[in-house]
Amino acid sequence: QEISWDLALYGSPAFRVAGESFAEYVNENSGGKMEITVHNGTLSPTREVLDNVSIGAFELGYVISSYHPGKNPLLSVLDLPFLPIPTMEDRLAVADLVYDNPHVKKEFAKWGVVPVMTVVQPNYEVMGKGAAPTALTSFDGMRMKATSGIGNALAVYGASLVNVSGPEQYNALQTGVIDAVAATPSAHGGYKLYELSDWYTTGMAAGTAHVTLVGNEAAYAALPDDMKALLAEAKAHANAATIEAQNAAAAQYEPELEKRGLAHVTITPEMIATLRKEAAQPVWDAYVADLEGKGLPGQEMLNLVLNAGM
Amino acid sequence: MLDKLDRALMRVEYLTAWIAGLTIFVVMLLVTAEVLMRRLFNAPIQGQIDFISMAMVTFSLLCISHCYRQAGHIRMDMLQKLARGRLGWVTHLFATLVALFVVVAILPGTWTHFMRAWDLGDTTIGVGLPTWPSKLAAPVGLGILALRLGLEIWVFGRLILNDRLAPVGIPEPPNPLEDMDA
Amino acid sequence: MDPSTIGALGFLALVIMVMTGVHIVFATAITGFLGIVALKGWPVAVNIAGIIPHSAGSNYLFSVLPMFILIGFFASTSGMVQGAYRAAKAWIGWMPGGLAVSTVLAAGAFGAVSGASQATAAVFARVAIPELLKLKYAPSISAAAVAAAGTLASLIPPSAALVVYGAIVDESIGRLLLAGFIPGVFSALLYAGFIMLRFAGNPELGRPITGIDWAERGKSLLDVMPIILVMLMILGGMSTGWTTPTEAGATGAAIVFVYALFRRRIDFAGLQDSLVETAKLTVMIFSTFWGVFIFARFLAFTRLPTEIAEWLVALPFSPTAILIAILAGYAFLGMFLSASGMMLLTLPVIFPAVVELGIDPILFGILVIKMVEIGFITPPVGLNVYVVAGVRPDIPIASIFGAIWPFVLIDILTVALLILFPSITLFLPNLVLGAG
Ligand code: NA
Ligand code: NA
Repeated sequence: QEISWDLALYGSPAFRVAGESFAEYVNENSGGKMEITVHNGTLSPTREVLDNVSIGAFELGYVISSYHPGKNPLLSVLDLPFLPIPTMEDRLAVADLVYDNPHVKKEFAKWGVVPVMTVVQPNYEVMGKGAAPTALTSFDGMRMKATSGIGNALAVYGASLVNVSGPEQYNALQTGVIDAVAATPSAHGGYKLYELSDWYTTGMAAGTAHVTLVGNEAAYAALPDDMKALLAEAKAHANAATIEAQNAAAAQYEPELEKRGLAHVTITPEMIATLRKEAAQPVWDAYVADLEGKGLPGQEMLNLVLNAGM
Repeated sequence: MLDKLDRALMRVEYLTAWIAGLTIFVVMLLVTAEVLMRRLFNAPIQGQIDFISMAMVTFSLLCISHCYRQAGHIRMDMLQKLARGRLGWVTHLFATLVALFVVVAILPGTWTHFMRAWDLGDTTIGVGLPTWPSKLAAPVGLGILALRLGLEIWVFGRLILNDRLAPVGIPEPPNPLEDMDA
Repeated sequence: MDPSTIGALGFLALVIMVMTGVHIVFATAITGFLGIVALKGWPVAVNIAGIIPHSAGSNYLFSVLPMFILIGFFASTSGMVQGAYRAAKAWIGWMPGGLAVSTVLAAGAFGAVSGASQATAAVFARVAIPELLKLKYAPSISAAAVAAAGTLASLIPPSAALVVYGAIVDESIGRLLLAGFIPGVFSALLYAGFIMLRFAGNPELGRPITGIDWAERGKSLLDVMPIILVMLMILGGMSTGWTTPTEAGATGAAIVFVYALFRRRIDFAGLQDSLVETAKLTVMIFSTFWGVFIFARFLAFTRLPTEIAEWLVALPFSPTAILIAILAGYAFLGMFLSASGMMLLTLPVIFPAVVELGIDPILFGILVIKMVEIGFITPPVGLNVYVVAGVRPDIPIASIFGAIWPFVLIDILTVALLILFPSITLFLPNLVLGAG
């Protein structure tokens, strides 16, 4: 083939589906003109993917913006907690609006990269040990692993945040270093946290870590028009495959939750409204103040997301 | 002259190792304080992981030249021990040239990695510490090592030309039996 | 040239450089760097290699390494470890190879605190080897015993490597950790048994200690109390949820430091020496890491490890034969890759095949970890041996590799027994968590 690209992936199987099906679609439909080689976890640590795509070490990679907010302050708007983005389909639409914003375009261009597609994930839920939370005040004194904005929001109700690495989570929950973990349902399942837990939430609508499949700008610009069109098709294909895989991954663990008798805590829309007002609004305000202080359009970014019409 | 340069460089290297040691001690105190604050007062110190991740690099890179001068880096030196005289110094020179090549080749890469964090911004995941200070440790540590390796090429080149000269500035480990038995 | 050929040539170049005495960090780094130049061009290679020293060192999970090294320095400064060895000498010093046996058993116990094999090797290289040499134990066998005993830490829980395995292949981490316990203890006992036989056959290798009466033995028990207390505090801290395994290192170091202060065994100069030495050892280990990582990045671009894995799975043999072939493949990769790098590269390809062959995934995990550990003590890149040689530059690295073969053979025997009798591994998890 004429064009050979490398793609850096990592994470759970459901998380990798977006990149894998994107590459598969291109490889099958390029008529032998383009080949994307998928590498799982071997090309870069997660924090350095943006740098590596920027320098052309590989052409494509997953970038988790919340791992390095300083690298992408504007894109980080999508990491704010309790944004009104209920479904994965909604998130895809809002993210495209954000990617189209001229300021965000400049932020990507600074790094010499382009956003190829969103690696969409469901909203975070909480799973934990001990008495199930019945009200927001139940989070008082709860030791939680909760990265990105959801931690800051629940801290308003007295949750104390313990930063435990992914592989340490299971042990930490087992020995009581932490009481609960906020993550996507498929991540709860992947790390087998249900083996140790007594309860889990649904309807939290807490938001999620935003993940972008980025491409090297120069490599992307050098593609012939028919390959650019093929990449656009591959994106739609990969989005659909991801949503299906994320739903299946969550459903796969549901029988375990029932079998082990975990209490199911439903977070009501009223609780979400309260959370948004009391806990999330201060986090949003702090984000805006921080960016405006640096001369960046924080308010414009927040308005863009809040007024996306979801 | 060579002796003076060697000793001056050793003083700089010891300073980097001292800074690194201090960082390790601070990390020990900080983690202990974090555990106590978390368990006794349910008030964990935010940013502990961020600081430690960044501090680790500082101490792992800054004193790399000190470690080199103390012959701390591991190698299989059967050949060096077998070959005596000039041939022995040639094998040392080869190893030093390889090291200098690596260090000089990747130095610009460590510098641009720092410059990206400085120019374009980069912060840690938890409390948003800037990462550029720890990224600067790489070019600084490797820069000092490049000077050291340059000096070592002089050291070994001089001995290859005349192997009866006093062997000044050869990396040799301190005697472990004296040094380690507390 | 296709990437796999470049990968194979790179490996050959690495071996030659290591053999000619180039430092491991620079031999791995230059091979990896020039390999990436061949695949991606000079400017990209410079930038890739330039990122790795920082990103390798900023891994939070590695921060446990300097802390456990520091425990070793403080423990030896405070006289704590020497006390423990006085007790070990008094009680089992009369046996053939008694002090080496107690080193292995003590390292196994320490593995219940440490999740990292290199950290354990570093600590025991510092505290045990001087004591062994004082009694005229052969330096190469002493160093080999410490390097091998270090590997016990990755089987006996807590274990970072087992958690990584569980996360990659989606198996119960609790079950895996429980499964590691008996094989770990089993390995420790086999090592101890070998040492006793070896020293019984050749008493020249190390003097037994005679003429210690029961009063002295009784008194020596007091000396061993501090280290047992510290072990209990560290273990207790982890099992009750006060600390994560990573934090246990730092709090352990703080406890031992306070003890040394209390005993007035450490002053400012002593503290400064301990810290500078810890920094030196840390930078040595970390430099080796980033050298190996640059090489591993090059291999990842060539996809050589993935291709080796695919080839192994396609072999037309029985499941057991393929399992043995797969494990042999891991032993080969383990010569030049890190544990997690090796698992990430190969498990996604190998694991589905392993399940299809009807091999128990928990047992396979323990076997993979055991193979990874064998890789840590075999040439040319055996990180545990490097660490021990780094702490003891007076003991030639080649002589350690020369003396370590019996331990490698014991490990291979252990792997064979684990394959023949799966219940050694599966008994404990099935007992505690019920049949899976
Ligand atoms: Na362990
Ligand atoms: Na090896």
